[in-house]
Amino acid sequence: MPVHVQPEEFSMVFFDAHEIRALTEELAQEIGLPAELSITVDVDETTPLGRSVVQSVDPVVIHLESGALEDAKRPRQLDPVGAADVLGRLLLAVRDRLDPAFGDAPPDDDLPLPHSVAWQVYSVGRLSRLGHRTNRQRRLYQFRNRHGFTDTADAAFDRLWAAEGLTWAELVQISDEARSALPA
Amino acid sequence: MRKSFPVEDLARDERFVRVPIMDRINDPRTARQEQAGTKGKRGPGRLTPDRPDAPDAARALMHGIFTGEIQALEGAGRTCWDFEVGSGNGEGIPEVPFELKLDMARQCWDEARHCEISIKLSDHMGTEIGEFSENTFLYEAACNPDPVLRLTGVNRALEGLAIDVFNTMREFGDVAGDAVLEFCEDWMLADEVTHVKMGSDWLRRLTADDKERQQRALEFQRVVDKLFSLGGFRGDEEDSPVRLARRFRELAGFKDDEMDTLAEVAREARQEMDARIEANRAAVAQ
Amino acid sequence: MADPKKPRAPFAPWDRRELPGTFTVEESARRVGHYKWIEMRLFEVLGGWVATVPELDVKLRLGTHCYHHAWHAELWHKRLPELREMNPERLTAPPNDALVAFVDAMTEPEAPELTIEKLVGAYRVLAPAKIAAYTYHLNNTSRITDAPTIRSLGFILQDEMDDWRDGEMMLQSLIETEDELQRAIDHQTKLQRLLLAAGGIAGPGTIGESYITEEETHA
Repeated sequence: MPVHVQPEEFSMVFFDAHEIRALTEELAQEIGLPAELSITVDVDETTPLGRSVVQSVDPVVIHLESGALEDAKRPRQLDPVGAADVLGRLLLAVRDRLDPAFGDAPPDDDLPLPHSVAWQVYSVGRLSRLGHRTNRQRRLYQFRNRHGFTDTADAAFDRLWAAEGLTWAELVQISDEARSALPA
Repeated sequence: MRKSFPVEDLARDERFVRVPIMDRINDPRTARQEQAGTKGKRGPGRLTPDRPDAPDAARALMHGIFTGEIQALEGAGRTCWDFEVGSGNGEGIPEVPFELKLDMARQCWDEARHCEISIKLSDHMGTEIGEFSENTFLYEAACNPDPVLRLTGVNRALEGLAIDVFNTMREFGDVAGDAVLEFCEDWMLADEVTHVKMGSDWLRRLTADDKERQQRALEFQRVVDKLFSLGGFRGDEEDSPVRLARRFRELAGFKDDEMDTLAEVAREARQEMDARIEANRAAVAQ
Repeated sequence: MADPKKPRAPFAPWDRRELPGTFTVEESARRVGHYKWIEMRLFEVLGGWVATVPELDVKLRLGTHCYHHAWHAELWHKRLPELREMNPERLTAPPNDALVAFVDAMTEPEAPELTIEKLVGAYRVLAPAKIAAYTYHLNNTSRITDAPTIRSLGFILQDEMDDWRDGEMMLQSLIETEDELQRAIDHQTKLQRLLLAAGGIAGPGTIGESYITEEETHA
């Protein structure tokens, strides 16, 4: 599985492109992405912010700001566990987008925030079942911030976290139903 | 046990990792970027729910509050121990009035409670203890061997920053619909107003007959306030992630001209940070 | 309807308080001065120790207890002028040099690995000594003339019991090995000897005299 990391050499952070490449290859294989799929991981090292998106699926380009892969306790160093969380989630989203049964989801930049977060929950839940260390409570807090601090939202979170094989339409429906319980 | 406890000896369990502030200052990356086609800069901006990273930013800030509370607790505790009870004229052995020590002990209790609240909030937000690094510049800058400067650094500067941060978090909780966060921040905010007022009152009383000492204290406060502006993270600008909480500072005894000065030093700090980042990037480019 | 002019006994049948007490005004003031002194030393060291202990739960608890003892010191500080001591600092003193030596030894541990020693000093040696002294005073002073002291003692003893329990539980949770147990025993023994030499937090007679003389036996 050809994985390319940009830049090949970092100057503002102490990331190792080889390490990122190896991590991405391993995750892509675990997740079941096609072996011939070419993946580019494009890291913007000029900012410490943590934005991460799937920029395209044909070809696959994942764009991350360096903060997304950074160790919160060691500035400018790579956090392998955190990086697996971010890359794994994004690669699962790639798999969803490549699956005709999933349906058409808007590009990441056009996703409404609640739907984006719902998708993240769905992905990280699957990632946790693959054996990766994830932070469920953190994801619940993110979900509540977009869907309300309500029992309805918590129930929707549980559904998304435990789900497999959702379509985009089903995911949106769960998110929208959770938000319907928000006070007017 | 020693009088005056150095920052490097602050006791922590293995979860806590310290990052020297210079590591942050020397980071060539910038959180503020030129936005294409505009003169403005995109930055982390204020902590509002419409920011895509708002929940994680709130978590990180909350952890920073937590470690700050530990240091505030330690600072107040050291003030109970480091100084003898006496009239203290600023010379020789540091002395403080008995009632000042009582106020510091009360602050110990309050800060311990704030740590407890912060820990429970961390559970609520999904943050692990030690998930983020700790920066000890709060204790370092504030805990001066001169009791007047220490009160100024801890109770006016550090606790003043706490007022700004808690107000920001409280507003975030309110707008985000997080009733737990809003509730907790509001209670802590009430305590911090008391602490700053303690500092204002004692500064006035201890330097009532020594204007020179008072002036030194205010100059020291300016220096510490600038440091605590964190390169513009705390300021009076619209896009400052943490805004000056003028109303609560007024309750705590800050005058308008003091807050205007604080806004000015925050602006200076931001400009200096921007210049440093440019210099760092230029150095990296070479 | 009861006749408002009908006389009632000034002490209700259920109010059995008696007038006599063991302490004069001066003796009460002397003791209160010693209590204030020890509470000050204790709150100061608990505050100082906060920065030195790495265990997070202990760190927070010490901060809370620091305030408890500062408040006790404040109660005693306010009581002294009421006991005819217009200069509270004059009586805010240790009963003897031996108690100073005890406090110096109790407050000496600083290193982060000495949490057991710190807690043993505060909670296995000093706390029981204070509880004993305060209980003796509570039970011996006049319930009528020295009511303000009794009121303060009631509040303070509640804190002392709660804090003693907190401290003991923290110690039991920290002592997991034979070596740690031995450290606790050794430090307690060392401090207990110093406190014995002092005679208690108010000096000899802190908790009265339990042994009776030959004459008293046959009186």
